[in-house]
Amino acid sequence: MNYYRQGDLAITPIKRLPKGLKKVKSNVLAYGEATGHKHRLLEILPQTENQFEILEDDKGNKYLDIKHPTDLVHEEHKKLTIDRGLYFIKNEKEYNYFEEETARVID
Amino acid sequence: MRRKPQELLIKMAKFNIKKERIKYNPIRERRTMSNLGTSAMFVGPITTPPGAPIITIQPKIDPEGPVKWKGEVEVYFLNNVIFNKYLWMALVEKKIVSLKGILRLGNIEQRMAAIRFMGIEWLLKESKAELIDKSERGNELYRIDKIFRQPAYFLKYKDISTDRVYFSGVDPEALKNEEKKNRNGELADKAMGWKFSWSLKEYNKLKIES
Repeated sequence: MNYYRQGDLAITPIKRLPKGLKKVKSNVLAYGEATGHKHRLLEILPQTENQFEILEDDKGNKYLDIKHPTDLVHEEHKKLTIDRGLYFIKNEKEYNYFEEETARVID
Repeated sequence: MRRKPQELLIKMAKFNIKKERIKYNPIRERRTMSNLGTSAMFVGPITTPPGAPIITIQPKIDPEGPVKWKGEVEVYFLNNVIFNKYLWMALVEKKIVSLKGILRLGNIEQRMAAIRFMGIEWLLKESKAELIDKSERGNELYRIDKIFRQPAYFLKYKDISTDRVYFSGVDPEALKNEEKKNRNGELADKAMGWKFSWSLKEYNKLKIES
């Protein structure tokens, strides 16, 4: 199972999905808050083929169930092709020494 | 081209006057300013003491001089911290550019706000931050002592798609007790892995990135 990174987004393989996830209707994994850019999965198969599913827990953490290899695109980053499998989506974080706390990187 | 302070003030005042009526609320004001991010500068009036009735702000902008707020007091902010006008202008105009000069400021909040305004890249250079590890993947880990409450670790890395260079803080807890025993690139890569909540082992598995 491959690990992937596209800019500030990390895609980590996992063995199983947690329970209680809800399907996300959008194909966008993450938005750039300052730039408006998007990390987006490309749908190339008809929806009936169930190419991939984006799922979310009640805290807003996102998961991926890729059933067919799927391209992840972004306005500034090169395209990645994600293999079949289950994944957890993580955002880049950083430590702010002024606030003395860890926060998600905002782009 | 560097902007004159008047131009900066006018630009920011135009941004502020979108809200014609505000109720003084220090908590809300602080939150609003925080949302502007680390490099935001803010010029705004302190209008009335807490609990005062709603007032109307009517800024009058004179292109030949500083921003004047009709019937209001001019107050200058840098990263949420109040500065006097001359100190604010010296910082914005980059007349104070040495870390030594900033560390001379008596107010600790002003010192931190000024350093934050100058930026991490500037801080690494000015503080003569020590490069403590560099990896084959191009991650560079720096340590700065005696500026923050604890030794501070910053990672310098390049985005492989855009070639942009970034500087980003790493949690000192993540590198605790690792500095002496773990170099040759491993510490810098461990710091980079931490940014994505990966262990060093997981980060080493990352082969596909853009």
